[in-house]
Amino acid sequence: MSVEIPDLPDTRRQTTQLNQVEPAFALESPDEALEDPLETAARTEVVNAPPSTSEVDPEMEENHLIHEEERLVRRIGPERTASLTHYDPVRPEEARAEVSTMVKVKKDPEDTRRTGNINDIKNKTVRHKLLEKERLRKKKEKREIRKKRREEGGKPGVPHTIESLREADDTVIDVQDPKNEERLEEIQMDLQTDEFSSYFNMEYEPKVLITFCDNPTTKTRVFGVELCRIIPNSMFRYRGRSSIKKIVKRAVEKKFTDVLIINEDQKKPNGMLVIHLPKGPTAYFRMSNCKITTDLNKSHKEINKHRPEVLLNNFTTRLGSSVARMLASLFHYDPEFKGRRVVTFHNQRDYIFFRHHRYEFSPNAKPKLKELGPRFTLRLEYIQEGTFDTKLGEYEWIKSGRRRQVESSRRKFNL
Amino acid sequence: MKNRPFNAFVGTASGLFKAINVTDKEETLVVNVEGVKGGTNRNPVTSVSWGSGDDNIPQIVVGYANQSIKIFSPPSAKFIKTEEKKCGDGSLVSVAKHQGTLITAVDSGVVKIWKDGVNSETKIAAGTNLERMKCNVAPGGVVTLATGGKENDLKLWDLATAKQIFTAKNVRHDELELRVPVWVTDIAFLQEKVAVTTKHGHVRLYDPLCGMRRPVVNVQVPEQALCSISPCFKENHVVVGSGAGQMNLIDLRSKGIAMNKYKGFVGCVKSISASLDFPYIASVSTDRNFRLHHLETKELLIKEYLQSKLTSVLVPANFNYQQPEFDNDDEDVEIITGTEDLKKEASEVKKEVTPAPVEVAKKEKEEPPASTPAPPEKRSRSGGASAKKKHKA
Repeated sequence: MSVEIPDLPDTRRQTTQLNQVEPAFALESPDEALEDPLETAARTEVVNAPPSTSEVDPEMEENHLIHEEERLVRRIGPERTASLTHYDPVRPEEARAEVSTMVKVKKDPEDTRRTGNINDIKNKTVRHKLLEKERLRKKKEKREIRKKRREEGGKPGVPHTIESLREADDTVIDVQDPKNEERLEEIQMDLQTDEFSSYFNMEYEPKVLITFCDNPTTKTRVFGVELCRIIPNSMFRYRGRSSIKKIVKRAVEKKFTDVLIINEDQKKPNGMLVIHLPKGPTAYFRMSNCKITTDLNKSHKEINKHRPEVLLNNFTTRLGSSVARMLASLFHYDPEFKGRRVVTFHNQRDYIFFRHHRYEFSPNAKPKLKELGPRFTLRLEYIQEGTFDTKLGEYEWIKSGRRRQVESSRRKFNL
Repeated sequence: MKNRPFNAFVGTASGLFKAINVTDKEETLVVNVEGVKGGTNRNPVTSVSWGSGDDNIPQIVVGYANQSIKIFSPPSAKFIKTEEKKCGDGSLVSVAKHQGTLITAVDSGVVKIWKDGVNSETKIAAGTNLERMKCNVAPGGVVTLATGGKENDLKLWDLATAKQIFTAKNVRHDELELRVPVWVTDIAFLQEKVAVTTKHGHVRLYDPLCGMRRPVVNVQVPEQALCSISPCFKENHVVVGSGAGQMNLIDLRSKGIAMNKYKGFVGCVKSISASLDFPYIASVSTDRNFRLHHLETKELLIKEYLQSKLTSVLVPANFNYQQPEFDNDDEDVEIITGTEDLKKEASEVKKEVTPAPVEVAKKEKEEPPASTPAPPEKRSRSGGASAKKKHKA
């Protein structure tokens, strides 16, 4: 069985045919008639120019050009082609030299005299070539500026990073501005009377319960045990199928001040729920990159029993300070500096990195720092008023369901 | 610039009361009434509501959790009275004022009616776990109280006699023949009808006059714990807000449907107050922001960070975000007309023989806006009416 293919116009054949047609044919076409007389004059000049170094017949060349132009007109309309095929009549010498190469390169990507936006060019190859050229030109320009600055002895510029270009958060208030005095006072008052104020007034010593999801695997269990070593006055218990609301109730009765619940998935810890007792708030963090001491080739024996110092870095917004206060209140407010242990919660681009170190200051050398492990990364999912109640609770900040809104920009951070 | 009239009022969880001026012309102006001194998160503002004094000038009653009350006068932008109103155990949940009568409700279920100058104090036992009490003046002049809470379905009371006039009946069991839990979180009056939101995501419309105790309309907003409701510019529609930060427009005609979703929240929508004459919705959230949305276009017009967690918001019934144009020399006149406006409303109410309403808002709604005469000095009003027409178009 054979399918009859209709005679498709062979573009190559057409080209040759068109090339043989006299230039008058092209000029007769309606598009040509609309053209700028100056341009036509320039073209005639090209036609009348003496033969260039290449062996191409100028007449053939011109025919080819017209053909090209016509094809463009057919494709993208007469207005747009003007910018693409426009030849500057003032520079006939250059045009002549360029025309000589025109036969081999169908459209001239080198032509920088093209006006308009490069991105509007429909031909992908041409567009890419021009864009690449533009990129290189900019790069070169930049390099020269930098070189010049270096020679003049100027300071190197500050590189643009996502953080340095961070979108301003309206909860970060300018301390210098005298207009903001009352607002700052209010924030101070708010912080001094919130749920954690009694911890920061050293009214109680934190007592933390660490528990897991049901049937934790070894890694999660060990992680819980290690957290228990890090957080002073904490204990871990297996959950025993009890619901979180029941755990909260019992923990309040037993005078616990915080509950940590570690969730796991695929045999790795993947979430941490922090509940402040007795009246909340509750925060849920997604956990990733959890490395227990054995993963880091360390030993848990290195972790001494002294109370650690706590560092909370880079929590700038109001939400950030709420989270930081919550994490701080897990640890005893009075560190034992003898133990030289430090726990760090470092916020960078909304990811909270947890690290645990022992430091040593020696008189004649740099301070030494040794990581003790474990390490993990947290990302806030929600923070809720009151104790755990995902269905009926009132959220202070929640990401789920509005990720698009919350993460509307790469440069917008919430902590 | 100094005397910009306030057109929105916000109570915070840190016990502050803020007066706000919102217009599209200028930057939002926020003033802490009585400053930030003495604020504490241990004594939050739990309720703000409109009331009227003896001279029928609108007032705002501010209720604090520790059962104290302050009365704010919008024209002078000052607290004019501070009172302790102890009425049983628990924290104060709602407060209302009707002429000389003050009504307070605490979460243990005691609703107390305080008559001015008279020692007779009437107590109503509205059932435990009370979450909300609202007061409304019906067109006939009957003042109704509505109460509701956790496992405490909607009840309506007559203020004059302190008698119960309506008790809601829970909806039928669900398709699994299980009882649907009751948890009324907020109440709104729509003329004779009463709409409530529940923690389990229902918006219910009760019609006490039709003789049916079950809701006539029951709309479910899926997977949201609703906690605030407000009537709005559109008749038979309400705006509801949820604990996870979703705000919807609910159509309560025929079977009811959840409509527009208003964006921009990251925390619980604690309280909503919508303008009845113009399509604007003011709301406050636990994420510490005051927001203003356009009812129809759903556009977020204003977002203002107010430092404290916010619990309640109140705007006048004729709240308008788009301020009409004024000449520069008219600036002072505008302010005066602003206060006169309020007085005028009050006097209009007085003329109608019926006792002055607790909520001027309701009265405003009853009179058709088109028939409202627009005297030349009431320029803001007339300008507003044209703005409204534009919106309708």
